[in-house]
Amino acid sequence: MASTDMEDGELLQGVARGDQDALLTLHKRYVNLVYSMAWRVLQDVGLAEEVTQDIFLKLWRKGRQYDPARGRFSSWLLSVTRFAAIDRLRREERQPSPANLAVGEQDETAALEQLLPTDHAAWERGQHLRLVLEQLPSEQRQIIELAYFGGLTHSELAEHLGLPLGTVKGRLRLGLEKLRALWLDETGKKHEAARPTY
Amino acid sequence: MRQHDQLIELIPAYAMGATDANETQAVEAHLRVCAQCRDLAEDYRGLGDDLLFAAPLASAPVGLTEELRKKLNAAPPAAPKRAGWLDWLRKPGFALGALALVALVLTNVYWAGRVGSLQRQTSEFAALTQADGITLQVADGQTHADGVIYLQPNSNVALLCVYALPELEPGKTYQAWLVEDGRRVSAGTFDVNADGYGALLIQAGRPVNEFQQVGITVEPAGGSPEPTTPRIMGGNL
Repeated sequence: MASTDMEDGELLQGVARGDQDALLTLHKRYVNLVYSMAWRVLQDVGLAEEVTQDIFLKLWRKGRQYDPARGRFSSWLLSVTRFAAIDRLRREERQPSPANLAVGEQDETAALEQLLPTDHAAWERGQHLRLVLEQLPSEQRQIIELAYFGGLTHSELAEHLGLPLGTVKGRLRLGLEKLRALWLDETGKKHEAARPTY
Repeated sequence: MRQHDQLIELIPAYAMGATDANETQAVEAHLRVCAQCRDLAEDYRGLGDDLLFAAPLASAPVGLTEELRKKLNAAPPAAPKRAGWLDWLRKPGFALGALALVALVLTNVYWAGRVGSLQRQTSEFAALTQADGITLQVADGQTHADGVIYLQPNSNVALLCVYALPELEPGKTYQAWLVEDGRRVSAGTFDVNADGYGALLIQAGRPVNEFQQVGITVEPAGGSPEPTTPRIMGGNL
C-alpha cells in the first residue's frame, strides 16, 4: 500500500506544480475506476464520460484539496466521483436505478491488470462486498443501492418507491445491518487486517 | 437513553448519507456525546468506503486521454502563490490593465485553439471520405442491414456508417465497441433515422487500426459500460 500511495502522492505534488504528465499518469491509473463509479450512478455512457473528465480537470485545478490524512487517494477520488455523479443525476432530473451489480460478460479478473493498474486489494474488497450485497433480499438490496448510488435520503426513497416513510427507514436499516453482519462474518479479520488505517 | 435508542437506529443510514437534514442534525449532535454511536458510525463508514469499490469495473470509452490532454492545454492549473505578483495586482490601475491583457491573450489562444481544432477535424473528416471502407458482417436476423467503417492507417478517427438497421424502441440505443485482446471498449452510441441510416464519428485517442475488431450491439438508452446483448454487426479492422 505504501509504495502505491507514495507514488500517488508524488504524482499529486507534480499536478500541483502544473506537471501534465503527472495528471495523465493518474488518469491512466484511475480512469476506469472513476468511470465505473460514474456509470454506476448515472447509467449513461455520455454523462459518465463527462463526469469522469470533470473529475480529472478538477484534480488539475484543485488537486491540493486532497488531504492524505483522511484516507487513501483512490477512496477520496471515488468518493468525490460519487458525489459529482449524484449531483449530475439530480441536475439532469434523472431517476436513480438499482441496476444489476452482477458481473457482465467480460472476465473482470482477467481484465483487471488492464483496467486497474493499481489498488487491487481495495477493489477486491469492494467486489467481495458486491457479492455479499447480492445475498440480501431484493427489496433490501434495492433500497441500499438507491440510497448509496442514487444519493436518495429517507424521504426521497419513500417518494421514489411509493412506500411509507417508516417502511423505508426500517428496510434500509435492516438491510444495512444485515449487510454489515454478512460483511464481518465473511471477511472479518482478514479484511480488518487489510484495511488501511486512517 | 430513549433518545439514544432512537438515534442509534439512524446510524447506518447516516453513515451512507441517507438521513434527511433534520435527522442528520440530530445524529451529529448525539455523536458528540455518545462514544458507542461514534464507534458504530465509524464502522459503517468503513462499509461505505468498501462500497466505493463495489461498482462493476468497466473500460472507460476510447479517446478520453486524448480529450483530457486537449482540455489540459486550455485549462492551466491554479498558479502557486507569488507575493511579488500579488503586490503588483493590488494596484488598481495595473490590475485592470493586466486583466484586460490576460483576457485578450486568453481569447486569442481560445479561438486559435478552436480554429486549429476545427481545421484538424475537417482535415481528418476529408481524409476519411477518401479512405477505404471495411464492410461489416451482419448477424443473423439483420439480413437487410449493412455497415461500413472508414479509417485511415494510424489515424485516431474513424467513421462508422450503418444502413437499413431497424429503428429501436424507446429506451434502447445502438452502441459501437472497439475490441482489443478480447476487451470491449465503448466507442459511442448512435441512433438511426426512419430509413435505418446512422453514423458515428469515432475518436479513439490512438490509431483505430490498432484495435482488432469493431462491433455494434443494442443497449439500454445511454449505453452500457460493456456489451449486454449479442453483436448485431461487426468486423475485423
